[in-house]
Amino acid sequence: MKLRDYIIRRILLLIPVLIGISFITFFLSHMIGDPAAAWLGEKTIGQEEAVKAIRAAHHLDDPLPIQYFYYLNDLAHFDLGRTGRNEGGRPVIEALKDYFPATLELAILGMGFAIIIGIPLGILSAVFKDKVPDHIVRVLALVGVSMPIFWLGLILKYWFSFKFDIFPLDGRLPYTVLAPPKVTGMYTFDALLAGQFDTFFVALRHAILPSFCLGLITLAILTRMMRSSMLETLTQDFIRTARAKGLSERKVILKHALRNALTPTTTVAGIAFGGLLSGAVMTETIFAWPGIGRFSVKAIGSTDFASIMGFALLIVLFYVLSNLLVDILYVYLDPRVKYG
Amino acid sequence: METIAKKQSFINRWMEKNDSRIKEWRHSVRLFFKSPLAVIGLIIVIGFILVAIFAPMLAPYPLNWRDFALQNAAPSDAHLLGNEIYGGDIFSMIIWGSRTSLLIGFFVVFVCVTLGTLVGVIAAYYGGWVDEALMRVTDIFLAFPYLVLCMVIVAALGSGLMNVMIAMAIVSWPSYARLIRGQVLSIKERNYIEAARSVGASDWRIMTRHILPNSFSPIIVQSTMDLGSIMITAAALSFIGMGAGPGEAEWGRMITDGQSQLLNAPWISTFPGLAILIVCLGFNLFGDGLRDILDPKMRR
Repeated sequence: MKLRDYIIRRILLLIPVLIGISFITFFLSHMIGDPAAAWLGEKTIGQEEAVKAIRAAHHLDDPLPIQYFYYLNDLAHFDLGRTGRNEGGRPVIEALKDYFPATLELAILGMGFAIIIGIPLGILSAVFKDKVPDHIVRVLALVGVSMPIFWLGLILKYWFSFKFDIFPLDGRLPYTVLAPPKVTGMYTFDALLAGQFDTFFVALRHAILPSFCLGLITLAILTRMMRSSMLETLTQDFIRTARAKGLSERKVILKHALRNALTPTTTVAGIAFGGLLSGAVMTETIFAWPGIGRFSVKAIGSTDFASIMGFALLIVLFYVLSNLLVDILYVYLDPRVKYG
Repeated sequence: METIAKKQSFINRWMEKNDSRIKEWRHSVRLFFKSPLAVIGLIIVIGFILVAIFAPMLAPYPLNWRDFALQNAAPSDAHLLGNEIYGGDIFSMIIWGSRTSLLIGFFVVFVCVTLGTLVGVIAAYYGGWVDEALMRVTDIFLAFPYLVLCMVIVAALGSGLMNVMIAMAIVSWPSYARLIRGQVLSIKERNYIEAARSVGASDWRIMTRHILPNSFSPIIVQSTMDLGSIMITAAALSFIGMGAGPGEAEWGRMITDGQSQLLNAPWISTFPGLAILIVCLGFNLFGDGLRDILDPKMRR
């Protein structure tokens, strides 16, 4: 099978999954009782006419399969319903568009932390297997995996923002600084594009604690993955050959082993990226970061169901697509992997 | 006298019959205790379970005890870790909270292992379209990020610890089903299964006596490691206001309650979080150790 056929097959296989996802979200959004009553609040008594009108307008009296059809039709037109009072009832899709760049920025920076720190730590751990650096790195990685990040966020905020005053407490920019002209919606990148380096550093300083917090678990996972795949690579024949040729240990590890050990780590990083976006729920709440995670928590607080579902659908879509991308990347990186 | 002798001989016979198994087991235990990290994990896990069981004896103050005069009070002799925003004793609340965490962890894992085994075995055993259908269902569940699906389900069911547990069970079982299915599929093809079949063992006997006991070690490792992350997720859901209510002795909720007082009473959030970290680390260390001994490929 050719790579192109493989990609087409994978995309076709996505269809049942996407239908299943829409089915779950539809099912859940019809479990919350009468949406008409939810919209009108406690004022339903004596407003039977209004309830009827809403039910008719939203096809709530139709049989469930037909309602599902309407739901799919709305989804296909990117109509995710309207937000609650928090957002003034504007379409959910607009709110998501506004908030998503902030989350994406955090996720990209978090991934940056994870890769820049995690991969060297993993290499260090593998090279010094069963020696002191290895033990330290392994324990640190386990601590990272076991860390409740919402708690870590608070602790970091207390020590680094409040006690030592190194980083700002929360938000994306102080009130005194204007946001850079919008291109991507991500302040750090936009500031760079506009050449506003002062704004860039201020925005970066705001993003460091939350993105570190967000990336920590991925960092720990990457470290562990890098260690084990490096250990496996180091036992292989071509490494022995490289050593036998008289290459320096440094060259053997950085040129020969690293390249091969990176393949599985890349795939794990790709899968983790989708997960990072959902981790933003916690981090954004703690650092008052105006992204989709904080948006969803506010929606939960006011039982704004359309917003919660919109958030979930966006995250799932990202998650599914990043998994697909990883699978495709994997066969590209490792030609030995068979398609199918 | 006679019965004791009978019993003794029975035990002896059993030990003779299972000699290789016992030796294997002894070897595993010895290997496990060679790893200091695994032992630390085991100690934390046992300690945590004991604290949860004996909470009424260990906690200096009763559940729901409050002294409104002591709101946000700093750690003192009478209140080792200070008091929270409603004046409750943090040390006691952490001890009481261990029961909630333990209950959530074991409930979710129990449901997942049961349901996952059932679905996984059915899928692997019947194969064909049954397998295909069941696995597509798990695909859909696994297409959601864990936390997000939990959030959505709790949002639909309504907040509360019971609903958090139900949601987490719904979200977690598919990965167990896949794990069991993979195990059963690979074991099904082994020679000893064929041998059992050739001497006329029934499907049921092959399943329960030969396949399942041999497929359980990855499940044990998986569920041990999961216990930690389940507790973190439950705490996280409480943290965003979906689990325990304000002032309840639940670790995640205690962290949320302390959030508003972070700058003037940091101990309120710090100690419950530390409890989560230590317990979760314990389960991970223990699970790592278990994997090293249960997976022969990992043995050094």
